[in-house]
Amino acid sequence: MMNSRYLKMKESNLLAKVPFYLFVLFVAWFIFALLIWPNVNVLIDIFWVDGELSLSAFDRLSRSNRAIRAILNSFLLAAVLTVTVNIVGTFIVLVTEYFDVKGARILRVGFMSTLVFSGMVLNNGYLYVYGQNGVLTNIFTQIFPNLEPNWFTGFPAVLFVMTFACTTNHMLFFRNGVKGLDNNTIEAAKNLGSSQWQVLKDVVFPTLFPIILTLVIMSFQLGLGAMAAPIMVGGSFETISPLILSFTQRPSSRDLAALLSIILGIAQIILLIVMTRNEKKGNYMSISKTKTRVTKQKIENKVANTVVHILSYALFIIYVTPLVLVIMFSFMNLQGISQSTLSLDYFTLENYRAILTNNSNYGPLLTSAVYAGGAAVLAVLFMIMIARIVMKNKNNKLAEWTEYLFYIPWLLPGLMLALGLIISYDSPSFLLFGNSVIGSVWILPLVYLIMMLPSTLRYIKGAYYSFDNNLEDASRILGSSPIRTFLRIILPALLPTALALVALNFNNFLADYDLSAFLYHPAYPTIGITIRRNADAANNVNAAAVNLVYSVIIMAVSSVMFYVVYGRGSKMGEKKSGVRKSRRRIKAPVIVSGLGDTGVDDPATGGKA
Amino acid sequence: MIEIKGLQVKYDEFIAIDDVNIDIKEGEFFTLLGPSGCGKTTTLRSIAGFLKPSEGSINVNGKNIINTPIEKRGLGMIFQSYALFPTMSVFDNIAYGLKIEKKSKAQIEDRVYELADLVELNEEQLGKNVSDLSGGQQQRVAIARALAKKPNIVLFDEPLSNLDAKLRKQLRLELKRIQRETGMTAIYVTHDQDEALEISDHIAVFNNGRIEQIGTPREIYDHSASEFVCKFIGEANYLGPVLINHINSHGETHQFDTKAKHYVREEKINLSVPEGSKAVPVKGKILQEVFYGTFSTYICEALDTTVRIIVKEDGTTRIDSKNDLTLYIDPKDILEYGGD
Repeated sequence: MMNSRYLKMKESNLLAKVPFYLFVLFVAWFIFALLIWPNVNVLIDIFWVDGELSLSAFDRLSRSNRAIRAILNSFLLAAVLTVTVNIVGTFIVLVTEYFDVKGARILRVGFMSTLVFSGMVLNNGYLYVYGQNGVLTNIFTQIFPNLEPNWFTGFPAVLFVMTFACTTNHMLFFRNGVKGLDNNTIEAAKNLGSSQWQVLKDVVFPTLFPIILTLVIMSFQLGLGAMAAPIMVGGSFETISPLILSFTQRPSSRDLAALLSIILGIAQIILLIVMTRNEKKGNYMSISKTKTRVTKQKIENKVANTVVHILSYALFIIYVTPLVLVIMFSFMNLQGISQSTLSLDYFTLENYRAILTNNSNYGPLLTSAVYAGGAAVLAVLFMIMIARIVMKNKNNKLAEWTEYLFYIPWLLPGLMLALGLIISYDSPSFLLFGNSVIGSVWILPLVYLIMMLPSTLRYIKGAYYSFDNNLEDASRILGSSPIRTFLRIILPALLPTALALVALNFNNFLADYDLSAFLYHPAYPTIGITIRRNADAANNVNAAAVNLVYSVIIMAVSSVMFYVVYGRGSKMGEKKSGVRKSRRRIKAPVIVSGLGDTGVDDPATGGKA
Repeated sequence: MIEIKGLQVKYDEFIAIDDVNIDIKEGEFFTLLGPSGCGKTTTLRSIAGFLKPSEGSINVNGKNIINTPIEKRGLGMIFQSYALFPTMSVFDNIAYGLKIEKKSKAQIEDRVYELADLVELNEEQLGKNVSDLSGGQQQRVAIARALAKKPNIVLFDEPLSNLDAKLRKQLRLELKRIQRETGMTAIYVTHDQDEALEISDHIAVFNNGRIEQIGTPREIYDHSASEFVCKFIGEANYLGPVLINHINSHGETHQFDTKAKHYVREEKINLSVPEGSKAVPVKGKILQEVFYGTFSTYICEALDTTVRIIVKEDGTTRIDSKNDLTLYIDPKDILEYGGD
């Protein structure tokens, strides 16, 4: 009797665990088939030719002038961009947060516009202003008839676009750093006789050095992996990422594409190591118990003050001109757009009507929204489950390694994963249950999902850490089962972070171009692909109008998302988040969470600019 | 009612508690007392089921509950952080356990209002979000929630430590009242000796993962079983060897072992000879005086020993000279530890 009861109990325990074991099997398959095997195949493709070890890819690469030039171009762009982005980024933060500059609020709005005016949309905007048929180009050619209409191209154009596109990180991280400075340290330095410049040099910059170093590394990495900007405005200035794309499209050059992606991957890993070591050194933020907020410093030297004001507003104009023109011209009819003339006579809503009512026009928008939205929701749900297992098994080595493996997409560029998937699954494979990625609709959202995993896991884990474990204990001791406790207590507490992550992931991939270029289905082009196609100078005015409307819609969606995440929405969530009293303020995730994900997360570049 | 035998909890190689043996009777207020990291919370969490002991048993009404799932143990618990569910109203927090029991809406409502009365929460507060309440009110919600299912045993994990001193004192008495009114068995964890002395029927004093002594508050205070308990509970003055030799020289019945350590409670040192006592006079002087209103404390030096004494400010004690003072110590009040 006793024995049969015991056996029944044992059986029911085992049955209850079946879903868990199935999930573990799924995770094992996911990690192997989608994270490890594709990247291993990239290595095999390079080093294993005709059944033996080969270094022929290196040889071919060294003989390809185009590839060598692209590598050199990428490193040149990375090096120069690091300087320009950090100068501009530091300047715009100081003038909006540290120095007393008139109109700082409006300047801040302009400088932060890259949060929503980013990626393909930003590149298209710059092209619309400075490109061959650009608004400003038309004005310039009227003033200087000898000006080459295609003047905005090549390395300077890429550098220009990316410099202003990539300062988003500064407006997020460096700005936070400056705002976190202890005013007493500045006052102490002044009291000891420091000039304003000396305070900056000896107190402010050294305090913020770890952040600055991280931003330097991030800018370098953005330059190295640049894709959208070189494609849109680079002309003959080719960099590694676009070359990987074009090599991938030729089966005979696929090993070169693989080798180039490995070069990017190695660079990314090295930079990640440097950044992690930098982070481990800690920061020098205030040790004061009674920290005071920074009071804005009035620039005492009148000449310097005037120069800083002029420069601030000049930069403001550079930042907002493309954005404002894109919005305004989206309401002009074709005549207005073709003549680059803003006039109430040309005002129309026809462009919007045409897009929002025509399937072929709103199709790409819908495709991107479904891909990015679906991937964002699934990535968050998936990582909530993984984080739960990881947090429940903190001392388990297998759980620890599972977590590390989900960070692979941080270590390697998205392009390498895309290429790996193409190489691994270009024909039906048992690992994909007899499917192939070629011609499949699901591969692109799947790669979006994979690229979203590392930052999602990190933030969900962070939310678990701020969750008061006593809540779970309280629920259990009140009679609630583990599943009910998870659904009723833990999940609602994680919800603000989870929703914020869905919104951010969605935003980051809505206007993706980099991964789409590799993996999109011809019948379902994404918005990034469509904007790129429409942006060709050879295209008609209609295409330009479509791009303008697309840009405005994407910016509007992004703005709403940011409002939900960082605005009032997040405050509502905070109130109910269940974070411990001492950590009552749960932070919404920042946009760029680490070097590894800058490639896909960088809002300024829509992936790699 | 609760019988804990040979309980041991290990974290990897670290033994958090070892050989813990406790008997708790029905309706008793039992306190686990000790400094941080002594194992008291580990013991409580083992009873709750959050920790699985590596050895020993926990019997409730004769049944070993070691393998019983947390939710099936039928215990109530009040947490240090209150652990109120932030996504629910005060009412829903209290009703949470009852909903799990699938009680009818009317039953739930009745019970919630009954508990609100017991812990003195009003109807308006029941509709509020828990984050809108003060610390003391949140504590009342936590108590009501824990009592909702009428558990026979309620576990308290330092429930008052987040409150200010005045509120702590007030809620202490209320906890005792609620315990008496409901008849529940309370197991209470605290590091605050005053709290333990005030509300407990029995106290187990923990040190380094083991129990040093179990007894009533008076037993523990007056007859501390170890030097640790003596020093941890209340204020105890260490008496140096010169002073002990002096007392021995006056001793008529008992000679203290000079190799042992000796202590006397501060209130047991007098400035006059209590009637009928065999107190030994010791010459000393006052080094420092602190006035507290109803009483004062004096730091005195006497025969190479510094002691703290308490004097009631009721006008009955007069100190004529701060440099020429006689302290009276009764040998029967001296606590002796160690020695041969």
